[in-house]
Amino acid sequence: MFNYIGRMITDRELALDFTQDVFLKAYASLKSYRPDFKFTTWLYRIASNYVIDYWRKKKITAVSIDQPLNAEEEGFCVQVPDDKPSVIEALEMSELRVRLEKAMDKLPDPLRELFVWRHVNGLSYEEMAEVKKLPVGTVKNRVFQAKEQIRRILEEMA
Amino acid sequence: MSCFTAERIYRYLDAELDQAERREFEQHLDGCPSCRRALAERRLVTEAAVSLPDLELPSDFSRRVMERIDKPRVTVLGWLVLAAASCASMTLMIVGLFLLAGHSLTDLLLRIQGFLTGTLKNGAILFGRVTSLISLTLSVINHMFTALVDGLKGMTSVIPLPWLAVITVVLIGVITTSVFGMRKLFLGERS
Repeated sequence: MFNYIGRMITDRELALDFTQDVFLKAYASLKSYRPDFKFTTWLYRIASNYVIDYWRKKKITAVSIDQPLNAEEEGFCVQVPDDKPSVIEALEMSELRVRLEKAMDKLPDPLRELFVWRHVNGLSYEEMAEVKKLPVGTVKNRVFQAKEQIRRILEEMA
Repeated sequence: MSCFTAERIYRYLDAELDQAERREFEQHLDGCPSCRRALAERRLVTEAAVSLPDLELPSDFSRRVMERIDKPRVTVLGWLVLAAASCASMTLMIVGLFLLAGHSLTDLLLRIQGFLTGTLKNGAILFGRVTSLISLTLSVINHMFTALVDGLKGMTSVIPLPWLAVITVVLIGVITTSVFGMRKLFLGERS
């Protein structure tokens, strides 16, 4: 849980407080938990609500993930090949991880959330869709967008 | 054949292409160094993301969470059962001791009667005193309220009504702020 919240909220102490609060909130709301949902899904929904509240309070523009971020990305049909030398392939894995953490910070928050859930927390697309109450296709599309944006950011950082 | 989209590459990496799509994709890769590179790049980013180190938690994190969790509360029914069980066991103990001391059952019953009568008598006296105390308190509150109303009436004749409204709003604000401030101070509530 801290792997998720810690990457959503850059202030470490605040992220620790939030993580504690999520567990306390879950404990206090145990009666409202329905066993037909996966427990972790329920827990991530609580955490996500905390994070969204934080974004709202901080006046961070919360882009709705069920809306396309811009018209250009709507179709998400980036034609792949280009002949520039690969910056990413030239990096050592440890260096790539360091840069990836920095690149993640530059992602729009809702995309970062999905990226972290998918690759750091290992949630399936179906679980993420359940947490966000969105169609699985939309979630997949957003994760692909997040990855493509990260790749571009990594190239720009070189 | 034209090159694939990034979306198709991600779906390939997620093993989401069906068999025919996958075969077509791999055939294309054999003859397209650009797509091979694009795939390798995206695979690398995914591998790096999956292998990111965990963020370190303080060693006492779990303890801190557990400390903030309320201890389980005993329900009202639980307290009643506990009280009834205590009374029953004390009664049994007293009766047992009394009989063991060589007293007869009649003697015991007479003593219980005496005890109950005494308790009722004392209870009635206590009730009477509490009632008169409450009555006195209510009378004091009534006098204070009357004095307050009289004071306000006096103020309305001296201070114009709009100013009186402003003073009332400010007073309510001060009282509300004080109450919330006290709550925060004593309960340590998070902002």
